[in-house]
Amino acid sequence: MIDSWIQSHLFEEVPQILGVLDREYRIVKANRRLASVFGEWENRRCYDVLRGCSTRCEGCEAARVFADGRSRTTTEVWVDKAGRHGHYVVHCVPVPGEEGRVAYVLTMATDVTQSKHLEREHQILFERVPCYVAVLDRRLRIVRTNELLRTTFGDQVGKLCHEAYKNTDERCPGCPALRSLEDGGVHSARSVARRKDGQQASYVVTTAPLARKGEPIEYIIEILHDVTDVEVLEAALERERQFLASTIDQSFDAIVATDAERRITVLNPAAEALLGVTADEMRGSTELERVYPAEFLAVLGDGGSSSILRETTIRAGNVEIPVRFAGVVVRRGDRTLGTAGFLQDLRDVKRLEREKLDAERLAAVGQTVAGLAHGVKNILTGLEGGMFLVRWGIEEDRRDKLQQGWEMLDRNFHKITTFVREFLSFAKGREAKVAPTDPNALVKDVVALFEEAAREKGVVISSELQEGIRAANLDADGIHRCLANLISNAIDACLVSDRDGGRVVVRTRDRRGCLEFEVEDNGCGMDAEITRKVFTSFFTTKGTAGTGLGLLVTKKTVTEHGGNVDIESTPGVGSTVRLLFPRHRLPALTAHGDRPKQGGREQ
Amino acid sequence: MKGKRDESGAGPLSVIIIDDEPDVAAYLAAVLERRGHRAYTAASAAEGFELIKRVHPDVACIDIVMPEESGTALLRRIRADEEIDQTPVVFISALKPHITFPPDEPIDEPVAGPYEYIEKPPNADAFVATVEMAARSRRATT
Repeated sequence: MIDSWIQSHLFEEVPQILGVLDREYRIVKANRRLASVFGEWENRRCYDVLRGCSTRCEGCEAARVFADGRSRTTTEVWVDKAGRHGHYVVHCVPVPGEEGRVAYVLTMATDVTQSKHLEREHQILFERVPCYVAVLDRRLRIVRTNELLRTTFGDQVGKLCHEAYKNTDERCPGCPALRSLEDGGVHSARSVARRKDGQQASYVVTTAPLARKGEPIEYIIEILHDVTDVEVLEAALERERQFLASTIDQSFDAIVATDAERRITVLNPAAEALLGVTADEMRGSTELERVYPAEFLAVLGDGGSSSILRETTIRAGNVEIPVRFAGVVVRRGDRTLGTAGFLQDLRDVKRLEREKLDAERLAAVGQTVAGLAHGVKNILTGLEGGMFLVRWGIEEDRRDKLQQGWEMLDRNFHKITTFVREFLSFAKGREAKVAPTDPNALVKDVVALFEEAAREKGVVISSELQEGIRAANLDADGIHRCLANLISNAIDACLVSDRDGGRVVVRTRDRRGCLEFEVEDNGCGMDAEITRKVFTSFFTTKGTAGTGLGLLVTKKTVTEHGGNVDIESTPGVGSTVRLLFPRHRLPALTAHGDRPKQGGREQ
Repeated sequence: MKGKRDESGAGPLSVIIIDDEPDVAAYLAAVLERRGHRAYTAASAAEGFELIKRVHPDVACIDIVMPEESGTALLRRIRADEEIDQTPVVFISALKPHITFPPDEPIDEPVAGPYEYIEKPPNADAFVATVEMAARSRRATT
């Protein structure tokens, strides 16, 4: 039964392509599969049917089988009826005839085109992959290498891995291939290898067994990645990091930084010293109020991005320390990387500023004293002159000299009396009462004082006050005297001027942290020479009407407030005098003057 | 005026006193007058300069600190005017001419030519002696 089935069906049922050749290479029998792939075959030669050739193939396997009667297996490339090339594994089996000769050859072909392609692809992948690939056997001998590896390291097949890459007999410590052999896992290691051009380069070596799990491992695949560039970058990055770290460490300014989660990551030695904390204790902490001033915390809370504070304070333990602060949210694109703050200890600056103010005040006093001496000497000369004339009158009995001398004595006596009185009030003014004062109210007060008298003389006084000026620590009485003085001078200048329509404007201004009082007139003005001299003690252009103390006292008062006086004047056009008070230089409150005042002067 | 004096210098001198303080000028004028000299006064540098040009005095006594034009500026003007550039000058001041006042304002320097200096308030005898000495130095050179 089975024999008959084999005889009748097997030829057609096997999945191979079957054909029988006679000694003329004619196909004398074939199954349907052959016909379906290669088309008509009856009485055609095999090379005609299978390859479209007119002559027998070189190295024909069938010929050999006919010759020696032994079966053979080979791979062939055949062309199907549509002209497509295909790969076939072909078995050629002799079919004996009479007298033991091979009468026919049975060819059984299996289409391996698909797997052949796959193999080719693997081959290409292996060869062309942009890293170095080698296959090692269990003894770490290189059995196969890819193109890149051959180009870079030369043909190393047959050498031991460490011989090939490192030219050493010893295995590398921590060899990943050995570990892969041992546990069947994937392993990596850093390694330095010498290329065939003699250059050393760094590689990451990854090894994996060429076997499925559980199968015995015969081969290891080894892949090398050149990481020389990465290492160069890493080294550069490390240098940058070191440089930055040491810059931050060496900075005189305190530097603090946090990560995106507002955890403190940087706190340099200057910050440790300023804040009285250690970097170790603060690292990772989120207590930003210990390192950032409240203003910056508010900015962070509002989603702001930076703040620069000319002057603020930071609490270190129980002490408020004056600092200058710059804080910034570090961003890259939309991403927040963290925050950074730079704090400058202002204690030394503050001390120097105080000392400078003291020095300026002392200089103002010295200048005043020098001026006083000058004034006193002039009066003394007048008194001496009076006595000289009186003596002359008495000695020579000359009534005219007596009269002249007496008048001179009288005049200078009055002068010194006035002088001493003014000087005393000036000296008394030194006891400044500094209290928070509304600058605008102060100006209104003074202007009201002069308005009426000025109008009678044909001079109009007005004020232009900037709204909402903050109160300032001022000696209200002192500044009141200064403004009165300036306004009085301005009115005088208008009266001296040839023009009608005398006008005096008093202004207040608060800009760039500086409080300003300004008195402008359209009076006679002064030339440069006089402008230069107006702060000279007893300098007066008003003849006997002025003592020359007014502007001197003004300057002294303003200087004592840490401010300065600025004069612009053009002869025939008018003068503008400005009292400038940088707010950060204003004096501290005096103990008894800490009551806020409504108006400029005490009632 | 020069004709009135003999070459010994014993004759009366004509002196101009320039000071913005009228009493100081009057005092110094009286001192000179009592010693037999002739004194003229001026209350400003400008007035004084005109007076010197007119009178050609034997000596000019000048205050340093005056409004408008200072004594040192006046001296420079005198030295620059050929007609009067030989006039002997005596500064009378509460200031020494080489110190500066106010501190940030240097006195016009260098002051050209020779001058004498007397500090206020001046002693009458010393003042007259200085003026006479200044006059003699001028006579010696002419």
